[in-house]
Amino acid sequence: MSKPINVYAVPEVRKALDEALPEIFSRLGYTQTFKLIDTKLILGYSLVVFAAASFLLDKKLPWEQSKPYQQVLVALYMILSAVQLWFNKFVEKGTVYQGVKKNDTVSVGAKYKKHSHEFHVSITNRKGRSLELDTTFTKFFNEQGYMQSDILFNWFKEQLEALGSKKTE
Amino acid sequence: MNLRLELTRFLSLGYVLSSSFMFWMGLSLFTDCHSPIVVVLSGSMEPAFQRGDILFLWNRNEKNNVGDVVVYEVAGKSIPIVHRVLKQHYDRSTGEQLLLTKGDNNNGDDVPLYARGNYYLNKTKDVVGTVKGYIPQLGYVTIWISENKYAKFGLLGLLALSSLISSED
Repeated sequence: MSKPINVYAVPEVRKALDEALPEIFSRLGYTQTFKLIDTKLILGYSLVVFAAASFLLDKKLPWEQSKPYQQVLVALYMILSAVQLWFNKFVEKGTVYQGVKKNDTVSVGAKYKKHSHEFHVSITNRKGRSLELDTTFTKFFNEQGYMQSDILFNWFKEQLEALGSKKTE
Repeated sequence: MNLRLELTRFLSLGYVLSSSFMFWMGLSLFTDCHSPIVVVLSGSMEPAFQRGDILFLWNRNEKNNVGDVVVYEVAGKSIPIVHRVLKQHYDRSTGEQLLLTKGDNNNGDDVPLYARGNYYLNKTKDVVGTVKGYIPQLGYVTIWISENKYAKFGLLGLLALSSLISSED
């Protein structure tokens, strides 16, 4: 079904897992929410629009005339970049999936290390209870680089059950 | 297929272009100079500057001293020229500083290069910036690319190849 990846390249593994999560969680009954992704996209594309405006202005107007507008654009660009940095560091914090199911929500974060097959997963539900897990992605891919969707599915199912039982304690 | 995924991927290309352009624009505003980094194209300033040297310009100084190396642009000619200030005086009616320049390696002064009927450069109108620092020879790459038609395609090919091979982000 899916293409094999190079299991020695962490970025490829990360990409494959990021793209697999929506399907895994829809099998678990969750619907993906896009609030974080959409905010990120709006922030990012506003940056690109400011830069494009600055570029066009630079082409159309002589330097002395365009300077006041360029000052505004560069200031806006810098402020927005700072907002984006803050957003990535304190709001998004490596979130790779967010979903809802009836009256529960789930948020999955992942942190990868350079040159290591180990990575860190955090799963948080609506009540703010979370699981912090250290695991390895060699479990979820075979030697040829094919993702083992069922193992991944079962692993997340177990973790969600563990998180659910944590709630009742 | 997945719009958000495609938009996110396209955005990373947008970031590369927009951030480099906005960095350039920020530097231009900071130095008050529409092209704050230039490459020497001729040997007229040897032995001070060789063809291919990269120069860093600054244009927030009110006046120039004799001996300063300035980059100027004559109205109607688009190629900036790097030469040394030989003489300077002030226009009594306007108070503007007027400069006479000469290339260290040239036999005569720059009057033949100025706009017809002009014997001096106007510091505020004609001077792009004063040279404040340089890197020897490194700019030869850009000369080579702009003067060799195969180099351009070679470089584009190299960029395309590297974007195919690397997936690190």
